[in-house]
Amino acid sequence: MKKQYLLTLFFLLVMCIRSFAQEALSPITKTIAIKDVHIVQKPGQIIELGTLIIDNGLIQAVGKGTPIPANAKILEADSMYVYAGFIDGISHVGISQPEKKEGSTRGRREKDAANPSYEKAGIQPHLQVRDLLNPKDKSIADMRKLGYTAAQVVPRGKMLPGGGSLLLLNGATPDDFIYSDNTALYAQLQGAGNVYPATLIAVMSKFRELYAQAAQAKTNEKNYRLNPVGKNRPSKDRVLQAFYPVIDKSQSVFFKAPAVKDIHRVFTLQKELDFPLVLVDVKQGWHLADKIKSTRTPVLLSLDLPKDPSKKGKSKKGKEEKNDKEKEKDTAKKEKATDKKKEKALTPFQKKQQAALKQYNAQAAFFQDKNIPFGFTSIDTKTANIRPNLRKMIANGLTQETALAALTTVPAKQLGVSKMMGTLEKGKLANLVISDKPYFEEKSNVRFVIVEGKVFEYEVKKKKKSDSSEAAKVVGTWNYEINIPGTPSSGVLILKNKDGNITGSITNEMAEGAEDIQEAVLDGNELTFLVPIDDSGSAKAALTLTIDEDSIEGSVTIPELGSFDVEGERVPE
Amino acid sequence: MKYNILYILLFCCLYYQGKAQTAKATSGSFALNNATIVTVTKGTIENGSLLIENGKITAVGKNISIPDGATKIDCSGQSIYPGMIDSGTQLGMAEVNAVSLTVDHNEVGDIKPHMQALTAINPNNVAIPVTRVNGVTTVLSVPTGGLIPGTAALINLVGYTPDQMYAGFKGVAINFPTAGKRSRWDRRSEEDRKKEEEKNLKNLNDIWEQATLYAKIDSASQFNKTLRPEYNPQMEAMLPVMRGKMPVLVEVNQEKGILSAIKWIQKNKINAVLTGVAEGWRVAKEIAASNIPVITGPILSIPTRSSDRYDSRYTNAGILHKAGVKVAIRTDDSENVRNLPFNAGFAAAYGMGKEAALKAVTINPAEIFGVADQLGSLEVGKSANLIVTNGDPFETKTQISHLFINGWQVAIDSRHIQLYNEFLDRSPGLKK
Amino acid sequence: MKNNILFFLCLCLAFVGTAQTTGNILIKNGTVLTITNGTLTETDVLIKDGKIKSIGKDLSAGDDTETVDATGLFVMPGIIDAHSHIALDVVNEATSPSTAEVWVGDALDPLDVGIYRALAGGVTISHAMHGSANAIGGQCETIKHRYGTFDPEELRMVGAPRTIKFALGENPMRVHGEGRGILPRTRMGIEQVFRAEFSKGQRYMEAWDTYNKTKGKVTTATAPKYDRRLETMADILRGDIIIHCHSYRADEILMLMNVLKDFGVNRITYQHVNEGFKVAPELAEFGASASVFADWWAYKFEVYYSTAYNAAILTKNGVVTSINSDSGELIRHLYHEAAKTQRYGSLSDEEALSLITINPAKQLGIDKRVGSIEEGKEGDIAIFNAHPLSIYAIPQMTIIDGLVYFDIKKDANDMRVDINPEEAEPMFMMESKAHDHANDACMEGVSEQLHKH
Repeated sequence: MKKQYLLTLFFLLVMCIRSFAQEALSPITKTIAIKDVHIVQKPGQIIELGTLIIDNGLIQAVGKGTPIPANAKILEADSMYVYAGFIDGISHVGISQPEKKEGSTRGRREKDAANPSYEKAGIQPHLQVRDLLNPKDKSIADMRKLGYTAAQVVPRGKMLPGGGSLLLLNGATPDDFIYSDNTALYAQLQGAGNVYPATLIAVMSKFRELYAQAAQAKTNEKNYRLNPVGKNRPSKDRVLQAFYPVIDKSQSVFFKAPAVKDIHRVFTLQKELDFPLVLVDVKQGWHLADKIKSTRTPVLLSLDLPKDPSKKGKSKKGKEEKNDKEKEKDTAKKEKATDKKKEKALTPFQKKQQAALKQYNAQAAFFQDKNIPFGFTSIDTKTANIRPNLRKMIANGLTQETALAALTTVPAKQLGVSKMMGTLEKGKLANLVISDKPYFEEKSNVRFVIVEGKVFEYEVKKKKKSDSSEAAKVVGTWNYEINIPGTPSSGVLILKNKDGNITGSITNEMAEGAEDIQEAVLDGNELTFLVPIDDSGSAKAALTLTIDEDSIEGSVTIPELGSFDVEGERVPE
Repeated sequence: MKYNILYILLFCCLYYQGKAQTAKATSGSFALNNATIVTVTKGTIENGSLLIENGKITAVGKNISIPDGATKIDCSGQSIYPGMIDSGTQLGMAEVNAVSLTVDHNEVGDIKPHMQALTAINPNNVAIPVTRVNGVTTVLSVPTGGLIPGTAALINLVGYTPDQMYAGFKGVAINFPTAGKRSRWDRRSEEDRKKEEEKNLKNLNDIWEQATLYAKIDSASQFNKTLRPEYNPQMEAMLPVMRGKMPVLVEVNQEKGILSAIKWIQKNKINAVLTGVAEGWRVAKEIAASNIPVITGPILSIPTRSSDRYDSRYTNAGILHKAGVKVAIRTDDSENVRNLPFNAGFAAAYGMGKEAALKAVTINPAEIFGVADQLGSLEVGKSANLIVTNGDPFETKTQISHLFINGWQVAIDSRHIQLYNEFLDRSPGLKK
Repeated sequence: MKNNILFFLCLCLAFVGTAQTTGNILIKNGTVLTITNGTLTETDVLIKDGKIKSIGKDLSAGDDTETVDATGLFVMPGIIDAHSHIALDVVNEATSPSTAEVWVGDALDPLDVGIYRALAGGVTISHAMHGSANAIGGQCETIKHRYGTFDPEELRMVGAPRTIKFALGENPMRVHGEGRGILPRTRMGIEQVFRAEFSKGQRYMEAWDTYNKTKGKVTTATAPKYDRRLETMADILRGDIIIHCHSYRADEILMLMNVLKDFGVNRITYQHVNEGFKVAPELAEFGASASVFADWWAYKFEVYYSTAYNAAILTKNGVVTSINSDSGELIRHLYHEAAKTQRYGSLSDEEALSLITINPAKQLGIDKRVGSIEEGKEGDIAIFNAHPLSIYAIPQMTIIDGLVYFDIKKDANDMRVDINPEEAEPMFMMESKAHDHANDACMEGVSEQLHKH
């Protein structure tokens, strides 16, 4: 039998709600009020200490002194900063990495390399995200935690990986996620490696050929519809059909073009074939800024930045486990300390390298100064690097307004969804991100992300060691009770003190076995910790307990369910 | 009809066999008269004579007496130079490098000092005549591959057996471990390369320790046979090295590698020559201070780093020379060792100067290899390895009219020349 | 720090700014090796708007014209390499015995520092070629070495005729026959690849002709399916594309001439063509050209029976011959490679220099524009401190369209255009000998395509 986890009951409950009647059974109101917050309605437009009301997944009202409906749940977000949820211009979020095949396949030769299947060739523009999306893929929760509420997702692959779909980052089934389909034809200059088209030159040729063949096939289909008599049945090649909307100019080719040469090559194709183009994952775009501007080509800049080799190898291995914030602090300190020394010791080669690095870091600022609108894409960027990289770009001249626009209004416009996304306005989707400090500040934490009215709350991790004398006070075994209306339950909580850190385990009568508590932080007499409640370990109940000698009191927040009271007392030894 | 074809085939075979061999070399006494004699070590003699007897140079100068019976060769308007020495090749050890069964320079294994280049020299290798007609009379043939590829041998480019060709020097080749990329097809990561460097360096040091011990025990066993070490072919081959009787040719090209190779050589007090040394120009002072001679080349090669000056390999030999390093030049080639004079010419043009470049392919390698009493200059008593030219031997236009190796007069002939003679004006031409 | 960045940016801008345009320059008082009109001593060459305007004594030009004192220097046309693989991100699409549709012009790499190294050897134009993995390889691109730009388009020599790479012998046999167990494994098979592809191209062309005639008149007329590979074959048949064929052995050279005769194609330059000397009369009769190595041989079996006298024999037999590099190393000293024909075959200075100027220009179909110093031709010039055929000659200045792209006096240590921001120190890399593993540059990228899973 599968191991049962603590609070399985709640998990099951959640599943029931999801699969049967979320609306009807939901014990929580669908109206949410966020008050006394800094509302960044759109880049550069801020309502200080305003109120935002959400109802049924849509923004009901935004303003100052807006009355709060009686049925509203009030989000504990006083003085925080509210932004429109971010939109990832092009993303692989939710598309799992292909599993690595076992055993080495090196040395295996492809016999019919000249005529591979479309699949082997990496030519699958007909693929749809909804058939490939994994709702449980960790990347969804990771991106959401950064503030992303929507993303135009495309499959992974080679030359033509598939079509794009605009997703909202919440749902149980792939279909739940879909906001709109057929938003893009995604293309890359990437060959299949060992079969045709193996290399760039064949990819370029194949793209031209497919495009021309699709135009032919489209005409043939049309002519056949007009009068089929005496004609052969036209091709129904799904690959060619996937090009039709592009040929009609009703869909853009989102073409990945990181390096300067890639951009030139994509422009070459575009000039020849005249398709609507969006440049994607641009990393070296400053060389072509003028051309991008004059052709009004929409562009999605990469959120990836090069690593500074002068900082390589300085941090010890253990540090890699540290969270991003700490890492950044470390490097920031070191930077300041070594900057002066370094400058003197730089070789001409290193000077050039540093200058180049600066160009990459300042790409976004360069586009901003040239008045070229751009969005951002997370494709090929490690999620953990996105916020630090945004700050690096800002340190290199990007304004916070432009950065925000690149995450919200610009991609919304590029994707044709400005009416419903990108800003905080009445009637739009309730896609929000709320941070405790202005989002782009180093010390700011995302505290809430709301996707179409669905609230995701994030605790701030406190990693500081507890005072050992304080810690000693909480050590022991506690009986506790959770007061869920109708189904109260009880269990045992065991707390230990390990070098000033609190560890321990928890049981519940509704579940078999014990579960270790996670990320326990003791601040004064307030103890917070997490408990995993589903198989994947990604759903966690968050407990906040105030400990007073021999009694505990507090609450537990369970995803999908809400917060409930907890109380208990120490078991005498 | 059938018979005819057979006959023709037979004829062809015989014909080609006959043509494949060049004309026989002749020996005897030769007097080269009225020549400009560039001795390299003793200045240039205008309008002088050079006498060859019994394979040796027996007289050089003006107004020397010519014995009766000596073949007189009038060299008016021509110059005599010492035969050139290429200090690093695979000549004679490979017929066609892409056909592995004709390649004899790269034995299986990593530690193989017992692999003898001289064993694998094919005296009838087609490239040998092709090489010598360009004035290269002596080459060092070096095994390849692994940490210790084998024992190199210096050979003269005339003779029918390796022993006849052997020119008196052997040295153990070592590929000094570095973390550089081997080529642009080298896909190892930086980390992997560093790991491999460390591993190989440790391996090399272990070998050295073992070989030192082996030599010690072997010496002791001279007086007491029961002490004899277990037979070990690798260690046997290292004995002359450990006893300082045979130099080590340390191949290293990367800046850092050169410095650590020097340290390693000094620490182990090894009689060594640095070879390759592509980035020698970065550390010329340090190399000069170590007093270790350098064999560098090919000069005609591209910079080791994309950020280097376009001519960094052309100027390398000159920079080393000016820093005070004893420099010899090599082609590191097998079928195109004939380009040695052109490599020297480029080194000369790019800072080394003609005189130093000429020494780098004559007397310097002779000294480095300890055969300066026999080779490297036109002096009485030395082997008659020389060429007669109508000009500067580095100039592409220059033609070589006479060639002597070890006193043998060798015909100016090779397969390339034979094909020229046959096909310049083909007969039959276009007709059937 | 800031200053450095600014300086660097300026440098980049300077390059970008100049790359597109043409220039004016007056080269004073040099020894001018015109190639087509003898050697003119103490002569000036004036380039105006990128074209050679006049050649003569005591020329003068306006203030906007830079003047170069070439007293004691040798002035020759920019050197042309009829076979190279520099400035390319992809050399081989090795997946099919015919890949006529691919074009290395799609993979030009203006950032390759090899371009600058070629400039430093006086080379202004090279023929960037597809590799030799396939019997019918890809189309090639004739480029001018306008180093300093980030834009691949700026490398193109606009208006140069289209060319395509064919390949005979071991390379296609190894890749497809040995590598994949498909045709061609022999020289017989290679012939059939050509015959099949030309025949298919012919039929494709006919099908389109038929369609174009009936279109609009017959309601059921449907266009043949567009096929870029066959489009290319049709263009060769129409004479719009010059074939440049990698070849070594005499028999295979003759084979291809026979195939071409059967299909009415006559524009061909044989590349490498190590045994071309054996069939020089046949090449001359056909009107085929030859582009050869100065002395490469014996690195693989099919070049075992070669001779360094190849260029001389071909030249003396009336075959338009050039010396090429096929290598990022040799391209830096083609003047020296050409000089080798003076040792091996005693060619005259003019004959030898023609091998790297007007003759390759003819083979690329650009001889009306470049390849000699003549009034009206493009201002591509190489200046040397000694006669370029001397081993001691050092290129001093290289000019394209009247603009200076290499000047030894202003040569900086590090001439990379694109800087890898993640590279802390310049990577050390020994370039293996060009033909170490029979892996001539022609076979670049092939083993990856064969072995990658």
